[in-house]
Amino acid sequence: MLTEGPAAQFTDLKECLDDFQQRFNTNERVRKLVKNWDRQVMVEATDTGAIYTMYVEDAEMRRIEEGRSEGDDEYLVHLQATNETLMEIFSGNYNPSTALLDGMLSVFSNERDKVKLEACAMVIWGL
Amino acid sequence: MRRLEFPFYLSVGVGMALSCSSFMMVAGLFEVTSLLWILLALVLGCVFCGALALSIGELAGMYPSAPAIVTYFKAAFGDRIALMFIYLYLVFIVLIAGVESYLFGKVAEAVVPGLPPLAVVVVLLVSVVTANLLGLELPRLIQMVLTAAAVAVILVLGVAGAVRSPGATADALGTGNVLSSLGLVPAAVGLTVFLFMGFEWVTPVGLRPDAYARKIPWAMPAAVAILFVAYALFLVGIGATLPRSAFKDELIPQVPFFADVLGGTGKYLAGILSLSAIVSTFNAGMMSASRLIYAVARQGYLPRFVATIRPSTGAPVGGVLLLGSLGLASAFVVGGLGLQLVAAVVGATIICAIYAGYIGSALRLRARDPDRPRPFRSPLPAGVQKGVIGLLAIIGAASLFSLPDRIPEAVVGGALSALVAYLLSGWSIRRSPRPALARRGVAPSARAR
Repeated sequence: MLTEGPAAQFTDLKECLDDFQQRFNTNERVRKLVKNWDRQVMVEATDTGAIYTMYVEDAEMRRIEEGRSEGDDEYLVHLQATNETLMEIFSGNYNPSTALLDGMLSVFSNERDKVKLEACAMVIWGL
Repeated sequence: MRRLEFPFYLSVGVGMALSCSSFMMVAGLFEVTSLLWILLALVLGCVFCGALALSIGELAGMYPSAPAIVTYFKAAFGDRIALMFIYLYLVFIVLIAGVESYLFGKVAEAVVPGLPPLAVVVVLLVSVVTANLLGLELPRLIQMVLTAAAVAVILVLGVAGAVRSPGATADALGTGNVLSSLGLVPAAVGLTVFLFMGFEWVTPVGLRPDAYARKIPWAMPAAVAILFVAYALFLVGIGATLPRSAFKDELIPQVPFFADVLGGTGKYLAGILSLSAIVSTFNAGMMSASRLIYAVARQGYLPRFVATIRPSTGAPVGGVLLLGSLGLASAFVVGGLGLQLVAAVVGATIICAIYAGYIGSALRLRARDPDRPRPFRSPLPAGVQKGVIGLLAIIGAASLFSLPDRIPEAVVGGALSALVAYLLSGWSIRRSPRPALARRGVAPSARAR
């Protein structure tokens, strides 16, 4: 249960991801970061079973869809954690790198995509 | 890619273990004892590493995609002990990066006479660092092909060496003085563990969650088995082809061995093999090790500049530059002072300690966190795993005494490594942020503001 921190203002993961999308798209530095980085970022909550896929195309997070990514595995970044951990991460309350080290988050992708995603988090929340 | 997923994991494990220093260690084994006993030590090393691989598979399933040593040791033993092991691992990586690059310089000199090895070292490390800073990565398919080709070359040359003169093979397999040879086996086992070292680097690279239930846990013992066959044939081949006295002090025994079997072209094949080994090892090794350093720095355990990344490529610039600089310094010190084999022996001791720690982590977490999902569980009874921990401790210590002429340097090197790890872990703990800030990944300099 979230009792403090930015994640508490959201009622569910989708709301949290929508807010993240807005921050992502309105941050010029992030848009520079993801230039030529077209990926599908699939977020899976291991406890609730909720799955959302964020589509990053042409330096913008175009849409968030419920369900699994149907794209090419090569361009997929798959994140797995509990619903609470995901909400903390996508609200800037939990550094994804720290979550990975803590064993709270799993990221299935190549190494560089992991760093790229974390770089976005760093820029958005100034971590 | 799904069809090639298991071969990819296998190639990471095998490719990380097959390196230039492996061949030097083969020669080092012949300095310790004779072929038959080396093969016995190799069997034991293979068994220990197989058991260890199963424990690491269990940990990898519990923490999929996590930077192995950091997460497992932290969860099992807490920050201070985890940091000690991490720094010990980094000392090991720096030592081996120096040995590896210097040995490649020696191979280059053997292939192109007159080429100064240390100049090759500089070119090699600058190239590797530049490639990593630019975000260049070896494609997975090329990584697999290079590894498969390296294994095939070793197998073919090993068999060719062994069958050329069956009589010499039989002689090389003589028992010698059984009692004194048996006494040398523990030290030799420590060195053989070094030969398998690197198979566990596959744990963070899983491409999908279900890989951690079967593919990755089984890729590790499979990699150990492949390495066992390759090294066994190489040992028999070289033992039957060259007199022991001719190569036991040789840093690059693959060059005279290949030249003896293939004639003039042999040294070129040895050069290509060494190049493919170092490309494969440095490609995955530099990236993974710099990520490890980056991860530690992001927690505030290292100065902030070490956590610098290049956002456009995702390259951990700070980690790459730190590792590249330390590797270069290590190559000059190790190469300049002729400490290659001593560094490898110290490395073998360190890796035995770390491997014992891996098994200890798996066992401790069974008690501390029994409910955490374990998609893979080591089938070995806990008593056997505890036994392997004890044996790894013994053979790790015995490794330091494996080179009769270099015991003082090896012991001092081992003690210094432990001291450095201890001091650095204490320093890191003192400079680390409060837990709440660490959770956000805020380094001390930011906290001070």
